[in-house]
Amino acid sequence: MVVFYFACVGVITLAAYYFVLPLHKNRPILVRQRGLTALGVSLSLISFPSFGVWSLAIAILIAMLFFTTEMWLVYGITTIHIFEALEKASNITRSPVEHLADVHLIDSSTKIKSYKLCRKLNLVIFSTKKYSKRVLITKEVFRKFIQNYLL
Amino acid sequence: MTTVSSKTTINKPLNEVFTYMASPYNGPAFVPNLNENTNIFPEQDGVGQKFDWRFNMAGSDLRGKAEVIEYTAPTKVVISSKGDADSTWTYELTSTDNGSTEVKVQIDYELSETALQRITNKLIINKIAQNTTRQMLENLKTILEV
Repeated sequence: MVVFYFACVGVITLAAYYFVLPLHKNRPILVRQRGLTALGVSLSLISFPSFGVWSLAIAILIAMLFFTTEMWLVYGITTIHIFEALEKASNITRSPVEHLADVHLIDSSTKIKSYKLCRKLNLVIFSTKKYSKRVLITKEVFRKFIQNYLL
Repeated sequence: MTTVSSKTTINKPLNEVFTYMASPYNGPAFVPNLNENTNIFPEQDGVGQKFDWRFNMAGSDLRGKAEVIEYTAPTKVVISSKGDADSTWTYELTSTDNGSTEVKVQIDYELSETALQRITNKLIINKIAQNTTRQMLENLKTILEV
């Protein structure tokens, strides 16, 4: 029961931080790796009274998925805006970008792909073995530029 | 008024480093927590160039206006900023014998009451400011040294 209440508090706090705060400022929502993991695990734990041990299994699966694959959940802007932000970020940080079929390759090392979940909801997935310093800066500037859009 | 500063050497010519650093368009790339510089006018860098800035500290937005008050190409730029955090940013660059550039960044700042109330306490802010100058130079080095 204690875990359930902690999970409820967690979900409310995380939802306020990740959803209410940016929407209040008229900015897009961007939830990164750790946030997604915390939200996913908290939501699974909340469902414990209804689904029992299955919710724990789901929580572990979500945590494993989010820890092995780096992804961002972006709400409020279109895929075009997302890649516009990536283009701007790579220009300003002097990171070379290659536009492959449906993937963008940054600094010849990191692939970035966006999946459109619905009109203004996208999942941005990064795949790399190890981020170079330049890619880390580009990623950070990319995040800033996404969050600079006004809704 | 509190002062924090950092120094580094970048293996790039003085003019290239200066041109990149002095442009407010590039600020968000190398200044950590600086989300954006907007309404930059005039486009040409120099004394009198003004812009609006938005900084993020511990999840809280700080905003203000900035003006370039000294521009001595390619060695020094001083930017004065007013708003939630009043500060003066000084970039000093010197060329070394081997063609690299030594860069010094100094920030003199004062936080307004309202900003202080919103953000934790002064010690933490000092730490963040010191980290900002250090991180700024590390980012610059990474971006410019291709």
